[in-house]
Amino acid sequence: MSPAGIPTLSLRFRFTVVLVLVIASLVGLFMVIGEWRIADTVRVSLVQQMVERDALLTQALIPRLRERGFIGLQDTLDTLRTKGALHYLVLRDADGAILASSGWPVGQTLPESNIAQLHQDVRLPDVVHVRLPLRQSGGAIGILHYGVSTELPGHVLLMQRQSLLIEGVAILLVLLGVGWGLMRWMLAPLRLLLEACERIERGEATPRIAARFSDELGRVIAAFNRMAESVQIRLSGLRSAEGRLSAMISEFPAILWVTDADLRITVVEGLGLRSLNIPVDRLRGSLLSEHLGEDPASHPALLAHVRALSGEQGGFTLDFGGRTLQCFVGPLRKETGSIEGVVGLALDITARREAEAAIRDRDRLRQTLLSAIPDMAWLKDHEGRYVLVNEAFIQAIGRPLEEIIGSTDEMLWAQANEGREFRAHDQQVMASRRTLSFEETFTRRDGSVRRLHVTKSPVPGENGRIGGTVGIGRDVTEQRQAEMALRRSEANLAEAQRVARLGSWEWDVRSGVLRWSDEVYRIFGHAPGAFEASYARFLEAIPDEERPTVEAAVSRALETGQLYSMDHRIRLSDGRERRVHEEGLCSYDVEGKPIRMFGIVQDISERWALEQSLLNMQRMYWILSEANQTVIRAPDTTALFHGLCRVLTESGLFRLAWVGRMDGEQGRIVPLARTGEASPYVDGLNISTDRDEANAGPTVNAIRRHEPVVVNDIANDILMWPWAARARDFGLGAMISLPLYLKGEPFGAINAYTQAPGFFNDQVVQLLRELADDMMYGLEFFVARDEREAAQRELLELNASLEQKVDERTREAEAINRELEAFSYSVSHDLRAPLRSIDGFSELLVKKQGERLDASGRDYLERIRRATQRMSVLIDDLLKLSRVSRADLHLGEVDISALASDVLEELHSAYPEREVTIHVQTGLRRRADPNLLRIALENLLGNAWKFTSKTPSAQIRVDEIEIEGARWIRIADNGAGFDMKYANKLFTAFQRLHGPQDFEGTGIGLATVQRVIAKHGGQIRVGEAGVGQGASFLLRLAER
Amino acid sequence: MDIRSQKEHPVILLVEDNPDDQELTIEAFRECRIANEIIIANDGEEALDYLFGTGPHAGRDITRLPQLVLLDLKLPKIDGIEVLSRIRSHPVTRLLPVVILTSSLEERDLVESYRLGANSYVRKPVDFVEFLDAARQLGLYWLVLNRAPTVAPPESGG
Repeated sequence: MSPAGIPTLSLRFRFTVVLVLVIASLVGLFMVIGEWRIADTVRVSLVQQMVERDALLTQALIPRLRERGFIGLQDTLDTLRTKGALHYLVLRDADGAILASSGWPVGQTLPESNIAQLHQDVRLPDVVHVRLPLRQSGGAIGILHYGVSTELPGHVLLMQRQSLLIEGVAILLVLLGVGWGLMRWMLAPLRLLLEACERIERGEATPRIAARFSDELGRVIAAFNRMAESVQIRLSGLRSAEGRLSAMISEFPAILWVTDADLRITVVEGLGLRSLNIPVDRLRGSLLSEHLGEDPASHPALLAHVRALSGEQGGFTLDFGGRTLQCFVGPLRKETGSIEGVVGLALDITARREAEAAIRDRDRLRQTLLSAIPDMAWLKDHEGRYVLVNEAFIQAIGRPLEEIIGSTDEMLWAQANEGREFRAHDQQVMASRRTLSFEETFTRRDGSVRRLHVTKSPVPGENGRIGGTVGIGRDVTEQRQAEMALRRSEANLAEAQRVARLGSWEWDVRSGVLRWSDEVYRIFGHAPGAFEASYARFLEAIPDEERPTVEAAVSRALETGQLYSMDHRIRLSDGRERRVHEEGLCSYDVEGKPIRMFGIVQDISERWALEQSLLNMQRMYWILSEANQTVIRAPDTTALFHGLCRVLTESGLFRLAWVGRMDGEQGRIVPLARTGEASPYVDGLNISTDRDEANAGPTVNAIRRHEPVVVNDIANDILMWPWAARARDFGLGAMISLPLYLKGEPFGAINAYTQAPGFFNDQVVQLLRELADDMMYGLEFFVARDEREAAQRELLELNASLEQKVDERTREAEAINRELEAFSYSVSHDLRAPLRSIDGFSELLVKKQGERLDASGRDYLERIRRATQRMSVLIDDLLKLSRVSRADLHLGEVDISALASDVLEELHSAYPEREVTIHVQTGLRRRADPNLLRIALENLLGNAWKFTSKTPSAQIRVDEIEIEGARWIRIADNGAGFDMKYANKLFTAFQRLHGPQDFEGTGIGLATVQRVIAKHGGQIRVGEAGVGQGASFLLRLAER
Repeated sequence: MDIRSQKEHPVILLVEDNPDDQELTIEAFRECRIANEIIIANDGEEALDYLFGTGPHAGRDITRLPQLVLLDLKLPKIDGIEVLSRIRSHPVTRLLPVVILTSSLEERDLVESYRLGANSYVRKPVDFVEFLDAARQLGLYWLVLNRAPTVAPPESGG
């Protein structure tokens, strides 16, 4: 690479540029001078020509004027202008009048002479205007004006320019030659320097330049020479250092590597490589990421390298090539300071790691061991300083761990004499090299005094010396206090031990002597001290199936020194079983052989039973919760029964569960669902429901008694005797039968069986009852659902047929109505016409032929006419009734008082001769159709009017009365009345209670009223009536 | 005033199918001294033929209108309601006084008659004495008291 990137010929280039610029400016100057020279030549030539021309013109014109006057003057001027190559030529007389003109437009003012400009201005005018006076013998005879161009003739100009060009080229060549020489002369020393630099670049030796200059450049070259020499020296030093470094690195007990910016390993060296099980060749030239496992992108090594590329130093631990390496990486910088890669160093820390792990394991082990000891435990060094203590120790003395470790007993205990005593014991142990037990007393920081039972053992140190002591201390303050108290009373002692249900034992491993406390004897079901306890006797008490486990645990405790702690069963001499918890710790001699084991035994039978029952209850609750889910989710009864049985057996509590239905016809229980490993048991069952109570099994009994029946010992319960053998074959020890009812009627039972006898206590039974309740709930739900669905189907069918019937009836009614209407219409028109004929012609007969008839003849005709009238009224009334039936109801509030008064008013004006006392109560209002109600009132009041016609002081009354909380409108009169026994006939059409001779009438009026009131949904009835005592009618209509 | 001119065309058109009723009506008018000529149409068709100069009455000057039409509703062939409707829809007879004289008192007959422009609706009483009374009153009212517009025949049937 070129050192600074400068083109080597740049100096020459610059020089050339300067030269070209100088030459260009010189050429420019030369050209300006050339132009000026040409203009000068023109000017000289012009002046010269002008003098000549003036003379010529004067000579030509003056004789011409003198000889020929003005004649042909114009032609002369034209000729002169052409010859002289003039722009124009004008001749004026002395007074200024133009005599002749050639080439000058007539009437245009002649320009003034500008000859003066020719001499003064650098720039020449295009045309020179001349004013030449023509004189003769001292007198002016005219003035001649002419204009001449200043342009030189072409050939003259060309000549001028050629000469100029030749001169210019010559000067330019000279300048170029001089410039080239100058440049070479000036650049020579620089070229020498450049060549030297190139030599250095190529790495050639002796870049020195032979100095031939004594000026400034010479000094520069000298300086360069000095610099080149020092570079040479440093370079050689660097090379030897590089060699040394390389040698050093390859012998370095570590690994050193360098990567480029792409994290490709370019260098990897160091002794540490030998311990890797990866060949170096695989590392060199490979990418770092190739060695970083499956996910190199997130590997800490890669991340550290990437950080190093951004200038950050870092470290990481790497498991590589079977070794653990502690690595440090940092940026590798170029001289310029930019980062070109990463340099890393790795130290093999495998051994250290393993050592650390071993130490940690040991510490952990030691700590675990100590923590496992429920008593205070500690380790002290030879000087009595605490090295290790357990949690119980810290708890007991109530000081933080930091204060304890490194302290001696003298420093730790509040009472100095206590510390001295402990130290004395330690020394005793160390001196005797035996495990010794002591009773020690210490005062806690809070002032309370505790008694400790301490067992101290010597700890073997280096070179057969004793390194310190290890101790276990049990707080026996309470125990001692109890002992002291117990010592006072033997009876109390025994009692207290029984209460504690905790015995202790001490086993001399070497002699095999086992010492039991009294309570241990009791726990094992013997009188205290009944026999000499031994390990063999102890093992005998353990059931066969558990004995190997216990023996193994004891052996393990003896071998490892770990706490012996386990629960197991013991069998008492009377066959009963107990469950005990045992803990023991072994002490060892200096050679590590077990000396003896000290331990406790506690009767935990009750607690264990309690735990078991809690566990069972937990399962029972699980069963209930699952059962609820099953009840909710089951789609039908089959799924419900099967699901509930499955829940019972899946809980792990029951070996078998089944649901049976009581089949009254077959007289037996029919299984519907069964689950569990013992389910084939159900297949062979034959449970008759016909047995009497004494012979019936639990299922039938449960159903009959309406409560669960429990058989907690199938083998020995009389209730199960027919099935006991079969149940034993299927491993069934206890059972329960829960009756099921559907709508209060016995349905069947659900039975559940366990392996263990005695399983069903009150709580379990209660929970199972709830399960049975859930089941019955589900059962009733399904039955109710089925019934409801059937009822709904029936209802839908009924609805459909009802709608059809309504449609038919409606159609029938409509048809009848139409017929009725047509009938009424015909009646209205046609039935009356014959009557009119009969009546009309009867009348005419009387009128016209009357005198020819006798009295009886006229009477007959009169009768015919009356019959006709009645018939007419009858028809009208019938039509009215029919109209009422057909009319639509338009309800509104009707003022009945006003309506009644109105009707009565009309009656009064129709029969003005009648004297009737009328009383109408005001403010009677009902919701009704006003037109129809008017028809009703017309009939009722018309009747009242009619039937009072023969009553003196007739009265008609309209008012309101209340009967049994209902308000009725009463229409009463004191007229003829009728017998109440006919009251029920009144509202039938054509029913009359009076003869036509007494009162006129058709018997349709009240039928019409009845029809109107019925149409309103109201009621009409006879209030009071009696022959000759008047009558009252009661109306009830909706009030709003 | 115009009594004289009325006497020149004293025609009453009685549209009635029942011969008894025709007889009784004529008798009733006679009793009441109503001397107008009574033209009888036995059904709706005859009535329309007469009024519009068709059928047997072809060529009759239809501008000579009866002074009064007594119209029964229940008629053979064309019923009274139809006849009334035709009368009212023809420009010549549009203003002709028409009295419905029928047995019916049905609401729908009443409503329909008045809706179609009947001038009056009279129910024929069964009692002949009452019938006479009704006829007298009709005659007095429609032939004497009532003033009908002088009906000018239009230039064309518009």
